[in-house]
Amino acid sequence: MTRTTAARTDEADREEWELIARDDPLLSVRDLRTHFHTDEGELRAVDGVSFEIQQGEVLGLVGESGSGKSVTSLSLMKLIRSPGEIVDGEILYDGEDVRGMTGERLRRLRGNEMAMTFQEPSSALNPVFDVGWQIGEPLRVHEDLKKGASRERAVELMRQVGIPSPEARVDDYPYQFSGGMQQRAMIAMALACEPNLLIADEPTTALDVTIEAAILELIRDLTDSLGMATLLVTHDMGVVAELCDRVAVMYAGRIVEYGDVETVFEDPRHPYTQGLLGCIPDPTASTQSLDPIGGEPPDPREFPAGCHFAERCPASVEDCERTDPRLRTVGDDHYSACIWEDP
Amino acid sequence: MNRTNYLLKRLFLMIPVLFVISVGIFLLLKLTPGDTVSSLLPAGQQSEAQIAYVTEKYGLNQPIHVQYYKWLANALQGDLGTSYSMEEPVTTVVLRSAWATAQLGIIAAILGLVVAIPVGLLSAAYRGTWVDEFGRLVSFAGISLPAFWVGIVVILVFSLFWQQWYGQTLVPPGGYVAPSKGLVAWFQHAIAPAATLGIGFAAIMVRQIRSSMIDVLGEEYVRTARAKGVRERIVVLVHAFRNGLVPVVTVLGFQIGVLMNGAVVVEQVFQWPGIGRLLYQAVTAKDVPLVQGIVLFVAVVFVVLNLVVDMMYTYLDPRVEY
Amino acid sequence: MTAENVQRPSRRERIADRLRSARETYGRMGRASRISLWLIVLIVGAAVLAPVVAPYSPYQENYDRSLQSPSVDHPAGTDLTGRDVLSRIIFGTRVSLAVGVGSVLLGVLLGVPIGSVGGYFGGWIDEFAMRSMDVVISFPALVLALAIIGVVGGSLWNLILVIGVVFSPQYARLIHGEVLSIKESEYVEAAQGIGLGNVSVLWRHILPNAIGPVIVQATFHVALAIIIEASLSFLGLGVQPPQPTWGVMIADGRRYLPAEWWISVFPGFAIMITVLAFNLLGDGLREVYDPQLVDQ
Repeated sequence: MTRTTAARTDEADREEWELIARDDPLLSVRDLRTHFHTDEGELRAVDGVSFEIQQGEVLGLVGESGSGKSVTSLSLMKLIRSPGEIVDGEILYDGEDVRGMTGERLRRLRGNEMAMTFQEPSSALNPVFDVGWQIGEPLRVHEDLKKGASRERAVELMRQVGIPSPEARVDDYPYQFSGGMQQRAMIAMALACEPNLLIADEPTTALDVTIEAAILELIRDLTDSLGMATLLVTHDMGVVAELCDRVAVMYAGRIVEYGDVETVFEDPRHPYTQGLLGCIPDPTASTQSLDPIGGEPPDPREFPAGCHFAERCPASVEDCERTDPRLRTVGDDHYSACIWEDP
Repeated sequence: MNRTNYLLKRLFLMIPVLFVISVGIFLLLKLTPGDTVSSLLPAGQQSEAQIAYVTEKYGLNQPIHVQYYKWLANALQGDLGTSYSMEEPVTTVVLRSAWATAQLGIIAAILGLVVAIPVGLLSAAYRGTWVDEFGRLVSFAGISLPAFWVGIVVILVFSLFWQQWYGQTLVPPGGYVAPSKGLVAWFQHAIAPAATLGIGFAAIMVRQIRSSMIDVLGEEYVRTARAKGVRERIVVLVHAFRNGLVPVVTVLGFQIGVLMNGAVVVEQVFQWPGIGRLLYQAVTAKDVPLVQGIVLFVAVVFVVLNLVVDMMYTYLDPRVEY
Repeated sequence: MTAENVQRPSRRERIADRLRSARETYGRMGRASRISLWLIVLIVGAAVLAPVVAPYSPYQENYDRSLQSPSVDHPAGTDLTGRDVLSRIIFGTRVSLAVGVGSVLLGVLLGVPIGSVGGYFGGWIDEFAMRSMDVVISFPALVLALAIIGVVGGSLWNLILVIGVVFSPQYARLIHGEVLSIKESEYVEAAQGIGLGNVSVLWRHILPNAIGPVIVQATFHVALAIIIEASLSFLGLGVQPPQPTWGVMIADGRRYLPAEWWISVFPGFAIMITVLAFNLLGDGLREVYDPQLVDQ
């Protein structure tokens, strides 16, 4: 067993993202920090996150609600609004710095090169415009299509994402769609301009299981056939297993385990991932607990100095409260942020 | 339910409302000091025959519910009695004045919206900044201005002082020219009272548009629009504003009440022969049938307008079920 | 919950409690609203101490000083009979505040019992009463007040009475809604559970919780009542001369336009400042009592 004692310094940040860097990433996120300036203090929703996505792959960003995964995904398109702010880090899209993008350049990125679907389709779709208008809008914005042409394309897109009789439904309003159909409409909207990167924020949370499988299959097929990259944000390990090539496990504003899906699932190294997968190495537990990890995540206004997970960790030792662990290699394309290499 | 059925249902629901109103208006007559006969007849016409006619027509020697019934039966046939101060049927006078008020009201509403929409949108988009704070002070000042006094100041500055400074008035100090007698002259006479009336309306609209837009700008579909790369201007003016209009429209009936309040004094200041001034004249002349007719008319207009607002609502928000 | 929990605190505790929450409310209001509060204190002071504050008697005629323009002696000029306009404005505060506060108090006293009893017991009578209230609410207040005042005649007490009656449905409806939502809450059930009577449940547990929105509405209504009073007085249907009121002063001054403009113009500022102060205070109170309206 080896221990790391790296402190949170710029140098350590650099080492971390250099460690996980691969060749030719489409998107490279380096030490991203997004904070919310609230009356009760600085809320560190995303507290130093690094990951990469390559073309044609699906990366799962998984964690409990409040772990910062949605804020991370919104940060990628600079959709964070006051009082939130990206305070540090780099977001490189095809080598270009997204944080520095403003005005027209940012607008061309959004919906055109990067597109996003949101978790609650019923509130993310505008209630007073019909579905065809909304699906066709990115085409009118980015490709100067006229109203009629964008509607025709909208029908095609709706067919592509499996909405039945799209010619009839193109004039419907979102409230006339079921939850699953709304999610499909949102995916169609995101795909309109054939983006290079799709960010899907909890695409199946609002849906029941049978529809969930269909939507996931749809995302997989579209990623493969269109050759895009997808960041799938979810709280559900099952969804990750089904769909993703690689996975980043998030806890309390940080990525605690990162790597190839099969490797991580077969041999999870971080105690939190182990807990999520329901295999805590706790000899005193005689039965399988329904809530495998006890306790609550720390308050993002007062993160501990050491490991964020230490308080809930079954394998924590005194050192964990002092040492702030960074991602380190624990296997082939497998990284874990724990002082134990294999707890 | 389709739109027609919905409309019929709403019309049916108006019946109890109108009943309450009619009872109230009928009781207005009964509140009048002195006996009812003399309040229905001008002082000079209280001959035996006249008294007998009125007593018979309104059943004044019968129990009060019979009196109400007779009054209502006449009213339903469009017979609201005769205005003795105007020496014309109440219905004729009321409709004529209502047309004059409508002219003012429409110009005032247009002027008000032209000012209120941009100010309200800017206040919401720049919430918490000096733009918002300035908008708040200006709109509250507008709400707090007494319309009759604004009218006087407008006349003082743009007519009387203007005459002294430049040898001619910018706007006439009051009066009415029918649109059929020349649109230019009509507009010259209408613009000052309409602008005066529009101030309070605009001020309240600013507050409402602001708060509605603040709600809407926090909605997720606004973020979706931004994520699509829609220009911020279009996000606010199209995606958010269409939704922001919905709650604004629902209180439109109340807004028309604000205009109506203003009309009472503004028409008096500018000598505009509208329904507000007519009410004042009827009240000072103790012309009870005319007062009743005006209040009934305003009430019916309000009930109908609220219905129209409801119908607009169903067009603005496709989710509304009939 | 046990009986001890619903025991009424002592009078002293309750007063201390109220003072604390008032101070808290003040602390959470915006700057404009705080200034408005102090302005209102000033205006009320001027009304109470009018004989001390005003430089002249409002009735003192002095034909040597007829229609004088604003000067050091008469900051707001004089009218035809040489009365000091500023002094008359200061005394005019009395009528405006009396009508503003009086009518709102009456509106609350009429509306709150109707709304709370109706909301608490429900039933078709309540339904019908609320429908009728809706009708009155949708009616333009000044038109209604003018029609009634025209019939019953104008005087200070009639103004208070009529405006109060016109306002009362708004309190009834407001309280009605609050009562309906609070009625179901746990502590009311608990209070009923330990055998408190209907009236005392209403009085001790429902109304104190519903009072915030009523205070906000009342503040806005004082502003509106002052405008309605001034409008009716302007039309000659309010308080009768020689009692100085702002509306009557503006109406009288019209005859001397444009040369002696000050007679009409200055009382208008008095109305605007007073009404603005109440409106801004109301807005500040609303922000405190209804925070989701302001943020999120």
